[in-house]
Amino acid sequence: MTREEALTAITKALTTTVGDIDGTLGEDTNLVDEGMLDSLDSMTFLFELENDLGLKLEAIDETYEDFRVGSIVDIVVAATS
Amino acid sequence: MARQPLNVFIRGTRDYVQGSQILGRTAELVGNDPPAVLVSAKFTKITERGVLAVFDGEAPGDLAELGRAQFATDAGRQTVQFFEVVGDKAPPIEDVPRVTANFETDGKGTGSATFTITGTFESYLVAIIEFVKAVHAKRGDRVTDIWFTALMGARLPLAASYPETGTLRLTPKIERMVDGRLQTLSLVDTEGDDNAPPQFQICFSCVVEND
Repeated sequence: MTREEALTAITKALTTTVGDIDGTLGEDTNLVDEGMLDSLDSMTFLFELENDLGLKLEAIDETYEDFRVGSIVDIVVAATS
Repeated sequence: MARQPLNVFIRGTRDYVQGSQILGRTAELVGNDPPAVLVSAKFTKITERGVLAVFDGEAPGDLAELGRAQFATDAGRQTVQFFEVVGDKAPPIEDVPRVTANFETDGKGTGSATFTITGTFESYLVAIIEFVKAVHAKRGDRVTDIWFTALMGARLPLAASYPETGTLRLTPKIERMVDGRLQTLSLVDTEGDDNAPPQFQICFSCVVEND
């Protein structure tokens, strides 16, 4: 999966979780720090993302805290390569 | 019906109003004509006081929000917000017997149990929450503050159409540690007769301590 495809998958999971989002997601966007996801939403987001990708993102364990989009793109690209 | 106080109680030895009661009383107000389903619910705060339900209306700025739920009919969706009413504690009410049995878990969030309920929407919620709480209680040597926080992706009919007996299964999917609390998202599967509701996601939160 390319970075662009990963970003599309992340945007889809985010939209499923919180509804339509304003504008487009950039890799510098932090989904938690910028208030797009609270702690409950972050679990739904990860569930939707893994469900859509059809795989478990092993790099995101229970202590994972980095919700910068670029970091999640890195993980998705690595997991799907 | 823009704002409606809910007829809720403190059941047994609890010190909070159960989410199942809040959703059950709200479902009675939403009604089932046309047929309606609960799609999602989210609780961010517990209360021992009264609860005000606000239907697709303006949130009262002076009350603390407890959570919200979304119901759906063929005509569309309706969002209900819940707020804590300032005042006395909710009145007490007797506890009810457990509705789940034959409980099994691997101690890591996977579990199953049988249930015997009256087939109503609220009785099904009680069984689900009792079961998922029991699974979480076995996740460590000491597990405290186990709270039902959300359900999503559901199609739970408000009608009394649930199987009266069956089996519940829980499959963990996402876990996060936030501020010292374990937060989980798991899948609930219900086996019963043809009226068993489809799989949905449930979230719980708890504090786990191990020796």
